[in-house]
Formats: sequence, C-alpha cells, structure tokens
Amino acid sequence: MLRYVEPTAKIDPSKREKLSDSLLDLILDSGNADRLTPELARSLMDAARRRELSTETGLQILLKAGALLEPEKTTGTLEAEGFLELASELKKSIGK
Amino acid sequence: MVELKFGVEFVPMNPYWKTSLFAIESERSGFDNVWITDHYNNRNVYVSLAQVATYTERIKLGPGVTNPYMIHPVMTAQAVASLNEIAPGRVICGIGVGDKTTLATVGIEQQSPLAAIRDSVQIIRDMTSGKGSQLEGKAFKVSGAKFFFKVGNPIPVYIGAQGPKMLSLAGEIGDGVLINASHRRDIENALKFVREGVARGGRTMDKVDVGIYTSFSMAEDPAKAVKAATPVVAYIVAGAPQPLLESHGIQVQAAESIKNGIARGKWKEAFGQVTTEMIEAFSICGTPDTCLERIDELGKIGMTQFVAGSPLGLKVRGSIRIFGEQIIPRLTHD
Repeated sequence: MLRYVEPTAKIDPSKREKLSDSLLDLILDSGNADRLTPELARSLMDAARRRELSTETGLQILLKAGALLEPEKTTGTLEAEGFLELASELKKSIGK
Repeated sequence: MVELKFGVEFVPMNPYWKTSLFAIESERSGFDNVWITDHYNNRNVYVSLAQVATYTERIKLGPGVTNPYMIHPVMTAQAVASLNEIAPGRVICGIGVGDKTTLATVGIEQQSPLAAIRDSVQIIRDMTSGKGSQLEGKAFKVSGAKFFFKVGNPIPVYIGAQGPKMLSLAGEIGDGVLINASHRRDIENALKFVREGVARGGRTMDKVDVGIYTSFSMAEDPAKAVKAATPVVAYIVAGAPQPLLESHGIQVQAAESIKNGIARGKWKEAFGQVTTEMIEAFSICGTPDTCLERIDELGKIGMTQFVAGSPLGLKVRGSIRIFGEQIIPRLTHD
C-alpha cells in the first residue's frame, strides 16, 4: 500500500500547482528515467495531456514517479515545500 | 508582414515519455512545430512522433530531418502518411542528406546528394498525394508504387540544407527549407542561395517556409545557458569546414584540438576549449532578452520559422516555458 498517496488529498489546492511543477521538473531532470514503468509513464502523459497534474490524482502519479526515480530528492522537495506529513509517509514507503 | 512561426527540436535520446511531456509543454507554450531528429542510434523517430501525435492536439510534427540513404523515400512517405492518420493535417516532413559520420558507421555513402533529395521530395509528394510514384530519377527508380490507403491532405516537405546547391534546391522545390545555422551572417549567405533556387523554380519566396534550425540555449542566468550550449557547440566546431571557421575568426588548430579531445573521449578537455566566439558563431545562447534580440533580427532578414534546436538549456522544460512566456508573445504581437 502506498501510504503517501492518501495525504495528497489534504494538500491545499492553492499549493498544488507549485508542488506539481517541482515534482515534474524533478522527474524530467532525473538521470534514472529508465526506472519509470510503462504503465506509470502512460498515466503521467495522460494526466499531462488532460492538464490534471496538479489535481489530487495527478499529484499521486507524480509522487509515485518521483519515488521511483528520485526517492530522496522527492522527499527533500516535499520537506522544502512544507509537506512534512507527505514526506514522512513517503520515507516510510521507501524504507528510509 | 509575414507571421513568424516557432519550432522546437527534440532528440529522442530521451525516453518516449520525456519527449512527449516536452512536446505537450511546447504546444501549451505556443510553439507551432515539433521536429524530431532521425538517427538510428537514438530511439525511432516515427515511434516518437506517433506518441507525440497522440498526446498533443494542435502542434505540427515531423522528422527533422530524415534522410533517403537509411530509409527509402517510399518508406518515409508511408511513415508520414500513417502519422497523418493519427494527427490529420499536422504532419510535416523534413529530409536532408543525413550525417556523414553516422551513415559511415553502417557502411552507407552519401551518393549523389542533390539527386537523392530531388527524387525523394518527388516520391514523397507523389505517394502522399495518392496518385502513386512512377519515377526514373537519377538516384531512385520507382515503378508504380502506390498506397492501399488514402492520406487526405498534402504533407509539406522541408529540405534540410547547408551547402549552396542544397539550399538552392530547397528554394526550387521545397515547401520549406531548414537552414542549419545560428549566426546572422551565415544565414544571410544561405538565403542568397535559397532565393536563387526560388527564382530558378519560377516561384516566389512566400511559397517557401524559411526555417532557421539553430543550436539554442536559453536561461535567466547566462552562464547556465553557456554551460548547456558548450558541448553542442564543441561538436559543431569539430565538424565545421575550414572556410566557415575562418569566416568567424576561429583558428583551424583550435577546432582540430577540440576534435581530437572528442575523439579521445576527453570531454572536459574538449569542452574547455570552446570560446565565447565559438558560442556566438554557432549558437543562439543567453538570457531571454539576448535570444529575443537575435531571433528578431533573423525575422527581419527573411526567416519565417525559428527552430529552437538542442540543447534548449540546462532545464529543457524551463527553457520551453520561458520561450513561451518571454519570446513568442513579444515576436508575434508587437
């Protein structure tokens, strides 16, 4: 169970856009692109096409992708942007 | 006044999903065209384009550029025609002679380049028009090739060109030309040959989309833009002909030294020799304002499509967004 997915519902809608942007940049700049599964890549592209990356579902996709590609940078981004609960759940999920 | 169009180049060294996300961002940022390079050692251009076509709605897309040596023009015609089914009316096709070094790795020579491109353009047009191809060309012979499916709309064919004769051919027969250069003086010289070809073909310049396919690097911090441009410029300098280097005041020995460094895999040494003059000559690089100024001056000398080619910047998505926010609106609505 991906425990860090649930707290995304609690993210203030006004902060979603910025977090979504940061996570997308982190994923696109990652040197571990090959870790992304084809299924998750498709979800990411679908959400981007539908302009849904900053919705609750979109953020969950970005978090899953970030956790796969750049787990430490993803938790770092969450902490830096003040999403401490989410960062903590993500750390637990990835066993840190 | 001619409306300036904007294209962006992607190299499918990246996974398909990254290229698609960059293309989605480009479409939203106001770019008109996505060009994807075609080299066998990267991911396949048409698979990349099909994916981009699926995830975008407005932007035009095509190979930029394919070549007739690796891929027979009937197959290029088939590929762009099929792509047109996914993205009707959005497909464009760039073709050139390819990269000599890459072709050599698979034992292919660039034979009769002018004839190969002239014949290819004819074949692609005939095949995609639906009438089929019957050609006794100097480079290709096709007897009664025809698709068993309809294409529906014409697919513009652009010719990638650098040398005088190819530039002239592009002016004579191309729906567009993609001039591989970044410096105003080189582009002015190239345009003379395009205009000659246009006149020879009995056409007018408004029938040819003049694309300038640049090496582009932009960032709010100019040092970051230079950092991204440096490796690309090193390769350009290493492969540039002597007269071109000399015309920009670049010593041939300096280019040789960079070339040797690259050949030996000494990247730091090679890239460390790239000078400001080289960056200036072979790229459009700097802050948004610097880039805007350079693009604007190219529009004034006859460019109708600006293509932001690799590397775009250290952060590709960031550069695309800045381009959409600070370049396109200022050059299309002023």
